Amino acid sequence: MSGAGRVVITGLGVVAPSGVTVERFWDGAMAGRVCIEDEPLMDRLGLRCRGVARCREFVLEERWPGPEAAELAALGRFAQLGATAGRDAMEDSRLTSSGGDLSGGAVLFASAVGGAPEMQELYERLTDGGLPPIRPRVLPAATYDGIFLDYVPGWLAARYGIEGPSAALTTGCTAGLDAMGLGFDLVRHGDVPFALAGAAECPLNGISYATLDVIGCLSRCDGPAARASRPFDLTRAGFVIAEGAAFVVLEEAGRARARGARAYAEVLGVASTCNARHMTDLEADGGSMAATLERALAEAGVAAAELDYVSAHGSSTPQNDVFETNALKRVLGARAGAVPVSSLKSGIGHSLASASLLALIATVGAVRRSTVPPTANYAVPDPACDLDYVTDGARPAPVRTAAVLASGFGGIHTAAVIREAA
Amino acid sequence: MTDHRVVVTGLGVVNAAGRGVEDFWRPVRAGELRLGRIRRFDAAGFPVQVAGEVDGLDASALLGRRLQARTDRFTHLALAAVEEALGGARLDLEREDRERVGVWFGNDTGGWDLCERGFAEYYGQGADVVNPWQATGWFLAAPQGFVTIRHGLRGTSKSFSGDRSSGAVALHQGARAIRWGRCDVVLAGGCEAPVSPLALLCLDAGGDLSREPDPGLAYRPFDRGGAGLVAGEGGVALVLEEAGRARRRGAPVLGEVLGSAQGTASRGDPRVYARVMRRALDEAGCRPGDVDLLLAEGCGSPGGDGFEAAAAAEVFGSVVLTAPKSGYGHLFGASFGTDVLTGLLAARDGVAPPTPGGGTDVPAGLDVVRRPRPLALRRFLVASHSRYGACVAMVLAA
Repeated sequence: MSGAGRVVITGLGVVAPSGVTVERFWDGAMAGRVCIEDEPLMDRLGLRCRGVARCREFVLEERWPGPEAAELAALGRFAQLGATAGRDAMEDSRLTSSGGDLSGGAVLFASAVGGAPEMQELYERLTDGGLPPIRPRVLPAATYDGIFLDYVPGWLAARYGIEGPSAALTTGCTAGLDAMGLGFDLVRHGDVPFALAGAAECPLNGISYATLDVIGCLSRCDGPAARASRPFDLTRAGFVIAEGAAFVVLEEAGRARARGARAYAEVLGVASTCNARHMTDLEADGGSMAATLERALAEAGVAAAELDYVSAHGSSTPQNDVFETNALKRVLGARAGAVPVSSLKSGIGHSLASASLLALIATVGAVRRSTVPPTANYAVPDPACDLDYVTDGARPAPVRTAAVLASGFGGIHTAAVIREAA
Repeated sequence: MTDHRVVVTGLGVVNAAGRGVEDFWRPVRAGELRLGRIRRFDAAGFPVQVAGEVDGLDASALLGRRLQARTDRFTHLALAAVEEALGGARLDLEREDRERVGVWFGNDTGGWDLCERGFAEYYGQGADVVNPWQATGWFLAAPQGFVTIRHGLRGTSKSFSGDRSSGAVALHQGARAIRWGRCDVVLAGGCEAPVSPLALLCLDAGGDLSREPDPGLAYRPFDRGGAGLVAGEGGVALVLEEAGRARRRGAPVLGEVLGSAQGTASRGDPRVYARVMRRALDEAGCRPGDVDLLLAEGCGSPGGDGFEAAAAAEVFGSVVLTAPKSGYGHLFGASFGTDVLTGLLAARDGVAPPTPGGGTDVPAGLDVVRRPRPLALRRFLVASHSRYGACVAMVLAA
């Protein structure tokens, strides 16, 4: 790599089922608080899946007391969550209050399904009870803005006078970490002084449930919905779908130091690969995720032995959790059983593109609080998943260096390595 | 260590102008109009009447019926373009380090044939019997996934949605992935299949689509009669490659990406777009006068084209400019790659392709190509700007 600089995280913003401030989100992650509830619509539709995680604490008008509320209200919910987390990360970084020139920055956004609920509502309005044909009508401009994916980055750029690159990544369930990875590259190669990178998702609608349920991705666990996401547990039976948004501000380290910014952590390496095998199936031996994590470690200049914690994709699907366990065994070798591994999705489900970035922010919390967050809902050991999943609550321990993993549809794997700020 | 150089070694394209590079180039070079009234579905009563449709794409012959059934039309267009580009680049993937070969694609809207079919099943038959291919077939990174699987590509791959600039962002960032050493080879491009009832209504909502029903008048970039753009179907793939390895393997080098830049004119200031063009020129080590042709976005609305013309006038003073896409439609995810490909072919043949139907309304100094024009073409700049202000510029040498 040519002339690469160092990159630190100087701002955080979250809108999650477990809270809409970073501190409350961290509290929830450390407490293993479960925010998963029943979704009556799934029953009404005759689906076999169970449970959703909603951002119950998100109230648009409370978060936006000014005129923006009306504008955002006309858009898709994913855009509302994204705009909010993006603003919060920007303000948290104090870039906005330091009076500096923000025009050179970048805004990188990600979403897997964008305004899928809004698109379904639109389809209902344009048809006779959902049956074709589609009856033509001239639609308001907010239809475009609220369904497609790139309104949020443009909106945030306009809000802050950012004139560098803005873009939306669409790489599904790795896309949040991918947006951060692109920001990492842009900052360390000197294309931009800072990058606001994030993701937002709101896939809580009938067609999203149906298309994921028909291929058996969503949790079919028995018992209360709160226990429907149980990563690494023998009885796990799919992921719980969720909404959420997360943003980080990435900044060149010297510049951040010079302006007296708080550096939450340093990003050392981000790697992304494709397994080139299957859109959804994963090989049990974990080879492709192992290769991805090894690349991220090599880029970071970190030995596997230095990892104090791994925030797993841990989606709670039967195949993913074995795949990931075996990937970690390949990378960590004899130390595999000694490195704590946990899944944030046990408490707040899987919010597709934003899930990996929420996991990254939880991992920043682990570094800052010297606490390993637990995997909730774990009860029955699986002989095929035999790592230390931190199943007895938060664990006080120094977390200096950690990895965050993500996998998604399309056979994409992404891994990031972060370290406590110097 | 200096940044890597990026060359183009393979081209693949499919859209309303043609299937395959030469088939596409013949009408584009001549300025033939390949837009028409929508035939894919009954568009009676729709606000948009004209589109650029791809005829005769036999997806089952290309992919086999099994894969065809699992994929949306936008993926078919992508796979067709990739197939051609890999063949042209004479890239023997069996001998490549596939960990270093990535796919960087643009797509604005997703797979709407599958979406609409899924909705019809959901409401008509029941939510529990929707087709099992929709979840993996419709989402915007599906083409990337299917391309990596079909060709065994394991390198860093990313997909972008960004309105008209979806593919532009993919090409710029994909070129950077090589420049910065993340990939040795990138299949850069994109695809779009927007000619479905729901997709066209949603695109139309944005206000950028032409509602003019006469195919000959519907899409007129840089023209007093500009009424917006006409959307088209298309796929494009360019094989981008680190220059040293391309040379070592004796690859056909069709051009070089000298420089590129991306920015955001989120408040509509053309000076931001001009700055992006200048940054691309600086990275390329070029002066504005070194650019022989500007392949413009040419979105066909007076406001958008005025914005672009102001930026171009600021940077170049005078320049030869063209937007051949008015002959076959704006391809969103496939647009920018198709413009880059057009520039390379124009340089090869020494002819600037015209802007069908457009070009009567530009500031002094901007010389819009209105008829095929012989032009000794060495360096060209491809530009794109989007609804939300994203701006991309790329300078290439043939």
